[in-house]
Amino acid sequence: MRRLGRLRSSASALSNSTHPLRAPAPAVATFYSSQTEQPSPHTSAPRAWQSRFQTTQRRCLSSSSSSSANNTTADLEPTVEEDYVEEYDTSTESDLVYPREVVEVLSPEEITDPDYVPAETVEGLEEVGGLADWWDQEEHWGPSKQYAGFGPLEKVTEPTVLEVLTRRALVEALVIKRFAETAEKEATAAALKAVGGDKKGLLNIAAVELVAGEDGTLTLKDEKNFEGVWASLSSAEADAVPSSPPISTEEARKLVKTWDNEWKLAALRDPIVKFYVAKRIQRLTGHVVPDAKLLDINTPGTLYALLNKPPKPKKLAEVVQQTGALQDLPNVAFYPRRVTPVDKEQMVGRWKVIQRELQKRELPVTGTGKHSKTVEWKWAHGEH
Amino acid sequence: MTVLAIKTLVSTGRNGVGAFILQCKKMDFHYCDWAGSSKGMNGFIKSALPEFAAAHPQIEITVSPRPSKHPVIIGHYINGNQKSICVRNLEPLQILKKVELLRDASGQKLKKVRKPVQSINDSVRGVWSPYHGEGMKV
Amino acid sequence: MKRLRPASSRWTGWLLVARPGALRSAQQQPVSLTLRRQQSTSTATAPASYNTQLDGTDHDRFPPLEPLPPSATSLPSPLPERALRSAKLAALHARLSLPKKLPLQTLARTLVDASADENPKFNNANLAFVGQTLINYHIAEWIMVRYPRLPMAIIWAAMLAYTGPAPLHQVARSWGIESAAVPGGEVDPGLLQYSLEKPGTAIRGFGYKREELDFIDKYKFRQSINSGVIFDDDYGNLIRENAQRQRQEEQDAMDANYDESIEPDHMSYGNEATRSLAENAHANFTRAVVGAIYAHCGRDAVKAFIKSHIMSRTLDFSKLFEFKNPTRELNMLCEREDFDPPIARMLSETGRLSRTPVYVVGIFSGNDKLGEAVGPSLDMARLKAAMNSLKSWYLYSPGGNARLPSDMLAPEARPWQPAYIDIGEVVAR
Repeated sequence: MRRLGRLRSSASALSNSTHPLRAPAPAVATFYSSQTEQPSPHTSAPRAWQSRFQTTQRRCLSSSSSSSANNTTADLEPTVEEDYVEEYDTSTESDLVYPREVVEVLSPEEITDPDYVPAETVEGLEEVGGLADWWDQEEHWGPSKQYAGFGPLEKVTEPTVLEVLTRRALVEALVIKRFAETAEKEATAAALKAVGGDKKGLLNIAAVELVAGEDGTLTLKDEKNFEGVWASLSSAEADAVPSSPPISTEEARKLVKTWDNEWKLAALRDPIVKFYVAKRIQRLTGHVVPDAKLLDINTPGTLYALLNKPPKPKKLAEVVQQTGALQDLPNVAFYPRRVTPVDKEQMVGRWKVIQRELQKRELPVTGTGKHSKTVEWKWAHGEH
Repeated sequence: MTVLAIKTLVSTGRNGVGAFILQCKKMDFHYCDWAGSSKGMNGFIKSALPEFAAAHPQIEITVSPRPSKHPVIIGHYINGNQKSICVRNLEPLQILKKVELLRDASGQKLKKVRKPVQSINDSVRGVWSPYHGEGMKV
Repeated sequence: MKRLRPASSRWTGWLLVARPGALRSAQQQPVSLTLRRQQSTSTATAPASYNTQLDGTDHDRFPPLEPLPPSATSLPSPLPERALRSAKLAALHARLSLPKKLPLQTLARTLVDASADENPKFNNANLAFVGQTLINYHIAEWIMVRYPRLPMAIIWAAMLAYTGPAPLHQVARSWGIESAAVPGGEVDPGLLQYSLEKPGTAIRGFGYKREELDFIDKYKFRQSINSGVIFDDDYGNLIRENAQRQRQEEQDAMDANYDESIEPDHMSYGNEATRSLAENAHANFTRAVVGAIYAHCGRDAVKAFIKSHIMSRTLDFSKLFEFKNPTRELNMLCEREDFDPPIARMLSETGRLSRTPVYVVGIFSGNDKLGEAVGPSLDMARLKAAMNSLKSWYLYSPGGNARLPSDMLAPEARPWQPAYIDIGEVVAR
């Protein structure tokens, strides 16, 4: 017997719940409902595929257990392998749409509609049913299975927006550092995970000025801003999903213009502040700064440059086009894709003659066209 | 009774006597973005190829990918022959050596050279003639 | 026939796109829509979902390597702007060490034969004519100064050996010229473009048409060398009436090779006519390059180019001779020059009674030996000795560095010393 390892049993569950396959749970949608236009008559008795599953179960269970276990056919509670055959709980509520109810159509003899004519061939009939592509359809999935990462779905790549968010992350990191010693762990964690809305972010940044302190370290200019930012961080809603960048490029550009470069040159020495900055950056922009890189990041300018760096090109063609070294040379021809035999014929001028001659003979210019399969295959599949 | 001319004779060109024509006229460089054996070739194209191409403007250089194949360099010569060298798993500097090998080749099939001098000019010291001189004393 | 050139304003976008390495180009919407409609109605079996263009390929999977207008294939030769993007052309320019003053567009024009493009503004016909006159002039004066006593027939043969279609074809091949299979506007500008289907109307030779040309053809009259010097071209060939007769001859040669069993569209290749067409196309390219250098860089540059590429070729002049009655000719020469009459004397012999005798015979004029030769019989040795004597007369040379008349055109040339000028043929024809 095949061991169903995944299924864990519990005696209480067995006794309390109904048969797993008999009563359908409160279904979110019934099987076939998305495809049929008219509701077909259906019964509540276990359907063909369910009964097939039952018999398999029965067979599986009866082969190992003693005959005393199967006194009644309806009683399928396993007696021997209790520890791993579990109750199939159908009462869970989820936002996934999965097939629960089976809809059975009447056989041709039972149909009373006078206009009904049974079909002879499969052509023109609507294709219904089948579980093979159930999960390929978008409407059967719900938002619970949507991946929600720590950062937004798409990384922020706009340089000005990135600069604004970097500055915000620095401000918030300095503030959290100040209050982390006194506040509770949960408060600090919540503050680090806070995803502020549009206006809160702007408030954080626009009001706050970053300067280099006495020993050159980065700090907020105004002491009062510490409390203000901390308050906004603490009051942010928890477990929110980060969204697309809160401000547009235009607004970011305006903000960036009001700043000078002093904040980028100040020093960032405290490793804890750096960790907080990295965490905030990931939450706000989606960029993951590796811990190894934090050692080299000593100024906000370095941090911003690291975030702003464009990704390494994956293809040599992109690298060559970016550097442009090969393109300045007149005797070099760089082709970004494979040079095919057709390309070679085109360069020499023969392709137009080949094309003309093939078209004259009604042959496909590229590929094999209708001559790819054997003639017998075509006869067997009804193509003449 | 007059002098007639043989009109089918054609003059012979001598490369280097007047102008010198480098025999390698074209080089194709084929690389692959995915294959690990093409790592050196990709590095060569990025680093050493621009310098080589600038130093040899008379060689037509073509760079194109050949996906899922080993990297290869093909040299085309004026006599119509081709020489191809597969540069799989080579470093950029090793590939540069191969490129220089192709550049220096003439396109002819490799032949063992047994004589020290190959020339169409007459011998400088003259060829011995049996009909002149003092003859041979027997 | 007027050939349409696309208005530059419409296609500027195409032509200013970068380099051979450009990625896929944006296709103009209206053009591609109409093309797709045409494709679906034609019998071509490409599926309608493919983005097939006029050339029958899928431009989504294979974006064109160089952005070309769809009408490029209908043009007879590539547009001049494409010359700047061709790597082959730039490499050719550097291989010949052409001066920077010669632009790539002109070099591209020298590669277009008249049979590919009939428009004289875009083919190399005129440049080839200029180049031919320059090459022939420089080689002729060089031969005549180097071998002043050479008979005219030999000079014509030597000219053919240095400047005829065969050696110039070899020169073009030694420069690494590849040719296009079929000329068209989409072809790489660095390829030599010529067509074997119809020879173009390029000027081949320069001379005067004789009035008695019809009689010569009918009765096979003998023409004198003097008349050939005046009327015929640089190789002693008769000049026919404009180019029609020449083209007619070539057409007849092609028709003679025409095979009825092959479809009319097919041309049989690999025969005399096609080989000579290809040879002429290559030779015209070489001449056109010389003409282009003269046009852009001047007299001195072209003389240096001809010297390094054509004059540097070797030819054994002694192999050009073929004699008839050399003894009589030698006699007439000695009479003319007031030498003592030539007498053949045996210098040495061996094996007279054997199967392979060897006679060394010298021809003496008085006490001076004019020439000697070795032969298997007395007569053969005497005749060969006479031939060698005549050759030694004809191949007299004041040296390879004799001053040429064109040296006087150089600035600050030394005063001219007269070159050696011969009386003329020994036996006048």
